[in-house]
Amino acid sequence: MNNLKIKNIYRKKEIKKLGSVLILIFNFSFLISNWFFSGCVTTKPVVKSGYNFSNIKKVAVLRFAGNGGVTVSNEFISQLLAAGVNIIDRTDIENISNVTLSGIDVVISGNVIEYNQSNKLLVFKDKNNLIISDRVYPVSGTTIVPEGYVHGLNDANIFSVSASVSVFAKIIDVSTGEVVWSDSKSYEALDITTAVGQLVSSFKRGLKNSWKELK
Amino acid sequence: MKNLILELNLSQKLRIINCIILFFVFIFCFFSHSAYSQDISEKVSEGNRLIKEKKYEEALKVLLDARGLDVKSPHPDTSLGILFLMKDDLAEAEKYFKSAEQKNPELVAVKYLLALLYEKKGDKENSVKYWSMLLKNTDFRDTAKKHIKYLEEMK
Repeated sequence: MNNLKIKNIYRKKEIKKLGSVLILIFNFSFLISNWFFSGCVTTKPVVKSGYNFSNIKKVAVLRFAGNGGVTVSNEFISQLLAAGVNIIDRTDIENISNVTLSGIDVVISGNVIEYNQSNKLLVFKDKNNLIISDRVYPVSGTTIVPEGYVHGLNDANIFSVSASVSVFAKIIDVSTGEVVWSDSKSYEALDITTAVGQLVSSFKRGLKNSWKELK
Repeated sequence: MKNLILELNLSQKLRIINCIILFFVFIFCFFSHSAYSQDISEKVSEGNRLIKEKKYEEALKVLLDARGLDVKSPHPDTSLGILFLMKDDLAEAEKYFKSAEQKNPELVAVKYLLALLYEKKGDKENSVKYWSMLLKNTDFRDTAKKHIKYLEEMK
């Protein structure tokens, strides 16, 4: 009888220990995921220390990989050209290995992580009530999934009102093959063209800190 | 029943008639109001459908009618704002979104649209103003912070 009681006490202690370990694991994973997701939103550009951006005279812009890659590349071309950079348009290729490198100092390439033309939805609900939704949302028996094909957009009272784009970009020095700058950003705007324009403009402003000659 | 009515004095009869009139007035008000609300909702839905079909002139007519039905409802104004966004007429879109905001200042959706609209127009001051309002809303806090940071970098 006594043995049974002692066994029960030990078992309870073990359960408590296991519980506290599980809580610790949960808290730790929550912290890690929180750090990871907040990090995705506010990344800082990474620059190779000591690299002299003033030596860059001619830049080749490649096609960014992923959906919307050509649009992003073209925006880089327009904005860098406006900033006084000599540009070679190589949006026909994605990889540096395929580039004819003569006369080119650096290559700009990267990939489009997200290219979402229906980022947020405006839902006309009951009288006097409007909702902005960016998640699965049940409206009068319809489920809206605001990614890719948007279920519910056939409903007259649901409009896609913003677009979002997320891009990773890098600059590779052709003579060494080294990555000398990289950055990733995401942005949302009323439409995808505005979102891409603002995103690339933000890249350019970040790049200006290292590349002083950019106008 | 006939005897009962005869037995009632004049004041009692008048009271009953008053009650009956009040009852019918109540019924009339209740149903006319719900029919009226339904009417404006249907008009807005029809206007929205026409916008989606890119029949902008027809949509404009229907939504202006809806606007006249209830000057206090922000829905027709919001739809009109969307219509002009589709036509890329940012000045008109702004006018109707501002009107919707005046009718219901609590509508976060309209503030979000105005923040994006001013950003597209390049009006940093107003865009920051609307994003700052959205900082109070937990669903928009992170987005608003990011946009304010972006706009401040532009200065």
